[in-house]
Amino acid sequence: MDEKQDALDRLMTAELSRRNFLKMSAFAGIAASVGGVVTLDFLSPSSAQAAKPFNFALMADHHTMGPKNNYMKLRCERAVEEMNKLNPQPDFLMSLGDHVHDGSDEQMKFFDEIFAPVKTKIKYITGEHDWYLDMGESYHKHFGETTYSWDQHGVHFIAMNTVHLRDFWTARGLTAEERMGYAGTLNSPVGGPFHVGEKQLGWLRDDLKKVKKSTPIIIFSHSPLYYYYKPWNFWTEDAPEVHLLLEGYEQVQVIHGHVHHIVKNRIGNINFDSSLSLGWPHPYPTSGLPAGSPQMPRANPANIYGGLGWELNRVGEDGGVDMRYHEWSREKV
Amino acid sequence: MNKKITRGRVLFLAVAGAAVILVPMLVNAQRQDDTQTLPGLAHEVQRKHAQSGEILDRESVMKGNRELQVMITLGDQLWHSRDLPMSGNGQACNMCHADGSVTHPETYPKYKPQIGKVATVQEMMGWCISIPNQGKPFALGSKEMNALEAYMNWNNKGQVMEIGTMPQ
Ligand code: HEC
Ligand SMILES: [Fe+2]
Ligand SMILES: [Fe+2]
Repeated sequence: MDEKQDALDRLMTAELSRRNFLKMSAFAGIAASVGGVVTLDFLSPSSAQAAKPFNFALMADHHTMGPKNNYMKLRCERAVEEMNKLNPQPDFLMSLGDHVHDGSDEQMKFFDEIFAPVKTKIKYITGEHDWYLDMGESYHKHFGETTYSWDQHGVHFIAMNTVHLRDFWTARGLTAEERMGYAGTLNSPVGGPFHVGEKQLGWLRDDLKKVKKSTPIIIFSHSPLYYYYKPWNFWTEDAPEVHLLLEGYEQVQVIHGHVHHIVKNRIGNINFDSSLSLGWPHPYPTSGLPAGSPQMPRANPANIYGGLGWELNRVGEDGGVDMRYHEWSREKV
Repeated sequence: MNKKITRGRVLFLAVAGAAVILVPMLVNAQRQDDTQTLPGLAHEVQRKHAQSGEILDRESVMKGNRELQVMITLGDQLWHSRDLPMSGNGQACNMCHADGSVTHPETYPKYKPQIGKVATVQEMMGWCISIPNQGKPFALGSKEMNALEAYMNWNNKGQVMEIGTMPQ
């Protein structure tokens, strides 16, 4: 590719954080010489409050199915083993939902056993596969809350349940298993799009009242908190309302699961990054990717680790997140 | 490049272009009073083989369409199946290939490193039943394999035939 165009493309991508400012200013000169209309406003350093740099781990979309699927188990075990070897340990592990595939208490027990050896603290949010068999009953029993926030090293963290669906089961007289089946089938039109919901939006509004505009915010959601691809439910219907509540905050990062591949986006002041899956890789939708998003290669299913993995992320001084993908296809098994 | 060839090509393109525009116009005019013609299909026949759009055995064409629909529906069910014989580990084709995505039937037959030879798309589907799904593949040409292929290809309608390996 043309080097200048390459530099320009990189400049225009959403991945920029303030930490990259110095690195990128070298490219600014190149961009200027390309002669396009390039506004460099977003390179001006923000006054986001300093955080103490630290690491946290991310794992998502494990989809464990109990003993009938040994691959799912092997991948989780590998991730746990790799993470436990780290010294120092990450501050915490965020488990981004779809821990199990069919939402049952048994499958969650199986999952808990695999994750019992984890040395660091585990935090959870729910995916649709954890929820729609018994509407969160087993989830609460095994993983606790789904909506909470906390402050750590100068960053305000928010965890939410973004997989609320309108009641599509009562009128149809569906069994719990049927409800789980429809909610858990990516491209089924029956379940409709995900919602954050009025109740949680109210909670978020109150929660943010205590947070200064200069405080870096990191949000964990299962579904992408934007409109990515509706036919596969890579979509949260009321995400724009969340964006409105976050207006004016200087450093906002959303990290989501559910899409089972790497995708990045930037909308207004908000950065979006996905986590890799531990279950299977989804292809990219035909609608394509948000502008500037990197693209991962298609895996070979002969390699049970292909296209999958987890992340060990670094939070910098400005509270921005450096996503460090640990993608297994790129390593020898 | 040789000038003669270039001029020849331009002439050929012009004639071909005119034919593409004119032939359907003529066919359409003729079709107005031809009750034995199924419009969409006849048009296809005309375009690809320049034969008449007249259909002699209308019944079998209608039957064919109905039978195909039945097979696509069966293929849809199998595509979502998480049980044996389709799957021994609870995984379905639909998880990794929602809406028949990235199956690229339009590129077959082609060399597949996983199979180690130039394979047909049914052989590749069989591989995906045995390896990622840990299931028991149906025989090549069986009703189930044909149904899977029907569903997959129906989802990939409009793709350009492009035999051989392509970057994914
Ligand atoms: C765990 C995920 C997964 C499952 C389940 C799965 N596949 Fe695949 N499949 C893949 C990946 C990844 C590729 C791309 C690898 C390649 O083509 O070499 C692929 C490739 C294919 C291809 C060839 C695509 C090409 O470009 O050559 C076909 C056809 C196919 N799968 C059909 C199926 C069918 C039918 C099923 C259900 C029995 C199925 N797959 C189940 C992941 C999966
Ligand atoms: Fe998932
Ligand atoms: Fe999900």
